Amino acid sequence: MVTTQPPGGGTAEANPPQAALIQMANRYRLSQCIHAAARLGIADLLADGPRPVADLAHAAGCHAGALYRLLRALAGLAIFEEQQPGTFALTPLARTLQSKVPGSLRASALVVGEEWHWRMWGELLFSLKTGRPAFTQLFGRDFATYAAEHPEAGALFNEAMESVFTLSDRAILDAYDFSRFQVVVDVGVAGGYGSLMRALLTRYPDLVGVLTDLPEAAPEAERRIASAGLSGRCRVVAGGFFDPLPTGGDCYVYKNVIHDFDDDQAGLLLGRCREAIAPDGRVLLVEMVVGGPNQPGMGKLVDIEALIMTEGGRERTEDEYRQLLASSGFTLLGHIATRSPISILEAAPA
Amino acid sequence: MTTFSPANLRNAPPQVAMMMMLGGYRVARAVWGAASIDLAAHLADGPRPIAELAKLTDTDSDALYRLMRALASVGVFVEEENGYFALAEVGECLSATAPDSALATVAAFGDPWHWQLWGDLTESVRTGAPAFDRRYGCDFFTYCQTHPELARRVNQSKTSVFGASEAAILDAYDFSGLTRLVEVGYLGGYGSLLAGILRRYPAAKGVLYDLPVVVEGAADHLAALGLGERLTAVAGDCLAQVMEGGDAYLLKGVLHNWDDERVLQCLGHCREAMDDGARLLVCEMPMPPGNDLFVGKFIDIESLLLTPGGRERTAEEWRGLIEAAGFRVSQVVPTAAPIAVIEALPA
Repeated sequence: MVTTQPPGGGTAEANPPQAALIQMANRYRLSQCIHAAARLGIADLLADGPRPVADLAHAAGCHAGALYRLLRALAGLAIFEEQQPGTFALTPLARTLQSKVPGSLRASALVVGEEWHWRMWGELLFSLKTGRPAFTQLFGRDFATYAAEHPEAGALFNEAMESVFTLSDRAILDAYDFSRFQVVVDVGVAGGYGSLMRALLTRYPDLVGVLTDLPEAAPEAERRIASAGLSGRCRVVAGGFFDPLPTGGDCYVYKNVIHDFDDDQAGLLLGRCREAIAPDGRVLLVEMVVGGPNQPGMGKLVDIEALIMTEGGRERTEDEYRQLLASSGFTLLGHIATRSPISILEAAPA
Repeated sequence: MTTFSPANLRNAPPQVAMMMMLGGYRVARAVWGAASIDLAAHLADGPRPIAELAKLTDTDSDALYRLMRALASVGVFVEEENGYFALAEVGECLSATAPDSALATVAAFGDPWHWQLWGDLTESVRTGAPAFDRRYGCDFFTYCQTHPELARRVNQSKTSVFGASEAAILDAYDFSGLTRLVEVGYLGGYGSLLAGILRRYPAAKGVLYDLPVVVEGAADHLAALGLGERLTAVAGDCLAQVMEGGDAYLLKGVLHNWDDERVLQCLGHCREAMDDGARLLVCEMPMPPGNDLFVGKFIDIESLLLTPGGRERTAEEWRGLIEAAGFRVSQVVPTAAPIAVIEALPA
């Protein structure tokens, strides 16, 4: 329609400012192209090797000419490759859209373009004007209620969370030594089905775990613990956000949890931890810690998602976490970066 | 690792690179948000604190802070140590008055109807039909003719981003000797290419031939170009008829909005209107073969969603269509931009 920079490629440094800005404003197009390919299951259809587009279109139930145009555009960013005219193959990037591979991002790609999610982002201005979640404005209820009413949307969202979490799980395990702990309590209240707990128990064969999750997510978490053969060392406890926590842990992990709550509620959550934790125990907050002014980082962008989707959720700076911990009786000991966008904040009872 | 650039994408593990690409909609929406509340206008005189900006834009100060902090992390604003925000070089293009303003374009890309249109992409890939028609009950151009406000915004956004490619066309193609140029448009902007040519070639005159909905709103825009009577506008529908009397007929970014049938229809009307000595100048982005990144490949998806059969075509496909309409392609002149000038003469 217009002459612009492609939505991928190029940097602010290499482009004239106008082109750089237009490129940024265009980037949602690439998100939608990736979503469409994921929704149509193209990467799975290519698992056994390259296929002609007519064949793919038939299998995916879509229009061959339109699919060709979609895959041609994605191939420009090394997501799929046109090996011979009209025949496409997987690439390392395209493989991340396969559904049953380790590190699959297919669920994330599906969530991005789900109608509720796309419409919610469409209403950014509402949140800017009011400071309130656009989601609630659009749907008349908060996301947790919506997800309970639309189990498929809820399950897909959890699946997306889990796949993103799984990516960071290895980075967390590589960055932090859990060997000194006997009992780790993973306080999961935001989906993810205990992926970190499974990774921990697998890495540390003597470790015992307790996983807490919301009543609707706990059975699935329990099933996954069982199918990993870890039930003998891990108890799953279903409970509400602000219920008392199981005692006896020497390490309490909150992974991507605190960012869902405003300061008051986060203080209540950490207060429950303070009641349950051993005096020499550690609490670990695993979050995208927001960097200083102008520093790049996914956390600052994800923070906008928290603004429009949650009541009071936000990504915080290290200082903000320090204050939050202090007000709940903890001292921040350290901030451990990992090779993923996620950091570990380690704290001890004050 | 979180800066979006090809080098970083190449070096990152595939999952990280994919998350960055997938997350592009957040950056895009945030940029649109900043454009919508016209933040740049309030930063023109220098940095301001968030509380003041929130008051000026009637926004929630915490929400505004979070938006601007995120945009400062990708180089649109600068977050100063004292909590003030300033425009970065890229952010200056969000100002309506900047010489290289992209405000109208950014606003148009993120316009709610347009955001929603892209949300229907999977639907268009399933059916091969434009998602626009399904939602609005008619094709985009028909809709624009009864919705002048949308037509105005679309036209304005085209005018504002054509600058770079128009400069490239002017540098690459020799328009000398032409005295009466007709730019044939179909919601094609407000004649800025024509104006560029007239400025460089003082003997030339130009006529913008576009739909009534464009011409009716064009008077102020044309007057602002300062070319007086050398640049005029004539209302007409090039799918029905093209005005006579030009020695060159320019079609820039018009034909790619249509299926082959309409392309031939429009070119046929041009041919009927043209004397044997006149020339046709089609400015489009010929699609390269292979897997290289090319802007036209994504514009092609926009065509899929929005237009009645529009698509980007290869140089060979363009040649075939132009020759089928009774022309002979005399040369294809590449430019520094992705756009080329395809010159054709009556056969």
